[in-house]
Amino acid sequence: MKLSRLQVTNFRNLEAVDIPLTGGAVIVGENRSGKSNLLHALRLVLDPSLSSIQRTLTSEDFSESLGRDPMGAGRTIEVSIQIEDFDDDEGLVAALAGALVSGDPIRARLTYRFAPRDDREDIEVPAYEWSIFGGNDPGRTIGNDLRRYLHHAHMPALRDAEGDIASWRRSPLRPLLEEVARRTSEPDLLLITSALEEANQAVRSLKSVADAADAIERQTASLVGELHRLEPTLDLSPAEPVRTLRSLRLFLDGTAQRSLSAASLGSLNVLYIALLQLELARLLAKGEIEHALISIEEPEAHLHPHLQRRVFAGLLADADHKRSTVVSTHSPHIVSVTPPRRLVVLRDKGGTTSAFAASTADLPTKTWDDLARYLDATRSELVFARRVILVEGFAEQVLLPRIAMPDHEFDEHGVTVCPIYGTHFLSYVRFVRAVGTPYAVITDGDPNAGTGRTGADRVARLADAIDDTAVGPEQIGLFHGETTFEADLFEASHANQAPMFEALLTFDSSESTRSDIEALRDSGAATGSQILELILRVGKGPFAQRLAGLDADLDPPAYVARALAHVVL
Amino acid sequence: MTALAEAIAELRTNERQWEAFEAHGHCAVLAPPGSGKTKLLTTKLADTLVRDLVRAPRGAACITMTNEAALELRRRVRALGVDRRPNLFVGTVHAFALGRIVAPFAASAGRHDLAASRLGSDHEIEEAFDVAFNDLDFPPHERPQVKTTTAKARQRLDLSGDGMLGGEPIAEMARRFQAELATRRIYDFQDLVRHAVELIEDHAWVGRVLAATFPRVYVDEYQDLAPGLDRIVRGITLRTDSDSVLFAVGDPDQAIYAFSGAHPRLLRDLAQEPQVLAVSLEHNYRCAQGIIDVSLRALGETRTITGHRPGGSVSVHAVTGGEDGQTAMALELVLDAINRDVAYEQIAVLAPWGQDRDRCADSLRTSGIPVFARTEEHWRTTSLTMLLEAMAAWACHSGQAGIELPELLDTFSALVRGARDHVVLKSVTRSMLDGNPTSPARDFVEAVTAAALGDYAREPSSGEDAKELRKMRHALSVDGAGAAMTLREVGDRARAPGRVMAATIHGAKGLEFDVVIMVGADHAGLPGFTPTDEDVAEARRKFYVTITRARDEVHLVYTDCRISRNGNLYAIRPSPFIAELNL
Repeated sequence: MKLSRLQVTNFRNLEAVDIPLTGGAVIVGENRSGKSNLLHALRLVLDPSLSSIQRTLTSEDFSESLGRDPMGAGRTIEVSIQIEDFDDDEGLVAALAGALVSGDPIRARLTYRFAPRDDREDIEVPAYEWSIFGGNDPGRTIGNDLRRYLHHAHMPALRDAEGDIASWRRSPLRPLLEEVARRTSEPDLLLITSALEEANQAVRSLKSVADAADAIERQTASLVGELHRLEPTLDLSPAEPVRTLRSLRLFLDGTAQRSLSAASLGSLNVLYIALLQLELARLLAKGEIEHALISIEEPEAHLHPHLQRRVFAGLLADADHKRSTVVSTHSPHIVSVTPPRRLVVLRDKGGTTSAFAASTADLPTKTWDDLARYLDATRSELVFARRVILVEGFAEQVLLPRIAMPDHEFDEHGVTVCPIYGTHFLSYVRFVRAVGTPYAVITDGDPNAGTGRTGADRVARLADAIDDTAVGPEQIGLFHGETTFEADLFEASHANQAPMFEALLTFDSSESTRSDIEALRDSGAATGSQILELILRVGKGPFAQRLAGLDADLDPPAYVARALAHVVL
Repeated sequence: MTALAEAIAELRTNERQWEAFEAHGHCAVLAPPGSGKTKLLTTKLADTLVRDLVRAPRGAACITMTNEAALELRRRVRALGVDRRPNLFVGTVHAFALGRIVAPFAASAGRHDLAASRLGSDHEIEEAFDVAFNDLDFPPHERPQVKTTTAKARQRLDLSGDGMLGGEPIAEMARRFQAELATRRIYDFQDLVRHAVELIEDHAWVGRVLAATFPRVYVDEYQDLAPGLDRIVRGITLRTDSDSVLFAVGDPDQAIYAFSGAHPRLLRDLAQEPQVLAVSLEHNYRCAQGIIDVSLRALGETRTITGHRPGGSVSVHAVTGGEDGQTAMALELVLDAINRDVAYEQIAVLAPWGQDRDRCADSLRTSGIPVFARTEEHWRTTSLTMLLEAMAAWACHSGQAGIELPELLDTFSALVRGARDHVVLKSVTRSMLDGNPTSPARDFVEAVTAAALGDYAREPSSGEDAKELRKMRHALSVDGAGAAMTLREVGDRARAPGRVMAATIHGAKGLEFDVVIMVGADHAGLPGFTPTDEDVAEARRKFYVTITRARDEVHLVYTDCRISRNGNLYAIRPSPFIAELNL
């Protein structure tokens, strides 16, 4: 099965959010954009550990735009999930038979709803109750006896992994140990009993231990009197073997037996996820659940980047139809191993959240694969950025922030420059449009490239493919230069020329090259194509780095200025 | 040993029962009276669920014809240790068609009109019928007959104009009636089944989803199935891509609903399907040998049925004095049985007519004998109304009525949505404890409705339970026809131990008694005036069913004359079937 849609209405800053999903999801967004609220909305529908009281919301849980007294006004909070692709799974079909919205193709919907009880219309402030129903009929409630087969385990952001593992009630270790206790045979249990008894005897027979136990005994007796003796003993472990098996503890680092309290937070989190996975695999194997959804809030906490990639590449792969993972994250490392179709971007616009699902980009499978390879840790900024400028290569990436100064400080505006190393902009543009990122494309003019291959042709073709209703390419963020970026920069203003020569002269070039540079500089009539030829001798990349390193103001070529203005409104 | 293990051990002693119990695939069991078919069915169901042969959330459907039978099935399955679990359906065919097919799937199948429809009230359905009837050229006085025949043709899902089903005029009447119901966005029970059949047969996924949800389907009393349910059952279990297994039990010899459209041969057809294992049970554990011998003569068929107890008597009592005479004889026979220490609840007075039953019930009551007479006056029995009656009985007799509070509350919370809530159960229990036997029953019914039945009371509500609850509340209201009914009178409608049963033959189906007294064993009742061959065959089966209700004694009572509806006295002969018994 897969989660194919998540809709949230009137819940906190998720006033009207409708997200198409392709199975699991990785949710990114700036702080306060609603990531945690989105995960909590999901929990309202599915998480079996939420109590009825936790599902009973308050007026603070309504979106602010609904006014001061949303409950007095009888407003309703709804969270719906849509589920598809399970017709080959009888267990899920049986669990969701009462929740179908379509039979062929099979599609089910579960909705959490917090609404006034409709039989109390006479009362001024209506009494609210929550319900979870199937299909489109609020009357068809789906009880926990069916919902529980769509299991949901949630890991909050600030979790106390050590405390959770140590506490018997919450520990993901508990079910595993209970299974151990169940599966240990009688003879084995007897064997342990005698070994434990022996060990306890040996410990008790140590005089120092006996003295200590005695001291405790006497001290407590003096406090509560003989009648209420507590009869304390000091033992290694309970002699009752089942209890011992249940109280087995986890240690780390092999023979060093480091206790969990000494382990790093990162290791603990990995351990916690592993235990949870084991438990879910056990429940699935025993048929006690039919599908497992794990949601993890900001799992990057305390994990080294490589571990983040290693752990989540596996977790997000969804090896079978029985598991889905939803993650919210700030980590480019996690995004870098996320199948790009799974990305969901939340953006805050004046207190309410808009959600953008990458999967809405109309791209062929191969292109998705290309994108997945492109989105390494550095380039996954494409997803986090508030604004994006797509450029051809490294030179633009290095120089644009410099050129934009001092009017547009890129970090302040959340602008990221992404080089695509080529001119195949289409799929990237579709992707950033799908995730709702304001963008501009800056490409070279290439006037001599031949019919259909000039910058103007390229931009026109892009515009057609993206939005054929646009008045001109620049209206939808597509900008091209005159010739080549460096040449255009050189010709943009007289002031640009001195620093560009200066940058060229910082290289340890041959005598002849240096004299060529100086001759051209001193001629006072250098052209863009002439300077480009010299730049190519040292390489565009190195040149750009040197030029950016000079503390000089650079004037943008006109098309760059327009692109900057377009993207940094 | 658990109740289930005990039940299984007992099945093991009967070769045929064991064969059916062990069957892995589809199985049709032909089961004569007293052969333990319901026990076989419930034991098999309980064993499948308790041993987890079917894993939740997949479940099982156990379907029967009447609400009373469904209640009994639920009680038995619970007694065998089956806990509440998802997708376990035990109920009537109509509840299944509505709750498990039409309600959940109509919208998803694009049948939005159907999804927006509901079960019509009796009045609404009558109105729709009249519109269709008045549009056609039937003489007004033929209305009752047209109504019966139309119902039968619709029950058979056969509007081809078959001569046996009233020909083209009735087919046209049925089509108009159905169209009229559709216009009003309502359906009746026959429509409900028809819609369910259409959903299953027109949308392959509906059958697939049902098969996934119910990998086991059990059907009791298969011989009383109308063709619609047969098609529903086949559409779930006998489809090629289904792993759902059918277990059907019934007895074509006991088919007594053909008059309303049931088809006795459907079970035989099913038993002959190549993929279905047919098992014929042969042991009758109920009737003494003497009764079995006589019953087979009544049936007029050759059957291998072995009895387990010697003895048994069938006697005929010809009385003079018409209906009063036979009522007096019935009373005499009941008193005689009581004097011989036969327990009240082991005595039944059965009649082909409701009027004969009511006369006998009144006469027994007047003589101070506690009587249970199933009546459908004011409201019909549904799971819910029956439960309310049982709760009223408990409220009046608190435990003396053989009805246990935990079982009542358990049934209540299983039936009513949201009634597992502690607060709700508490106030329902409070209503029962506060119940005063001599105060108006409406106080009690209204209190329970306010506490827990809001969903049913809300309009428009689609189910049969909601419809009959409305009728019940309406009848008991201050202006209603049953305004004077006390809580005790409502409680008396519930079947309870310590009471002699007075019932029609149809009402005694599936039950058993030590002593059965049949009144009205005359030709007017069996087979009736100017019978067709089909009528004779069905009347014979009714006679067979009557005799085989008894463990030890059958008394057949007939009289010499009756008074017609117009008040005319006319002479009657004994039923021709009596002579065939060779007593």
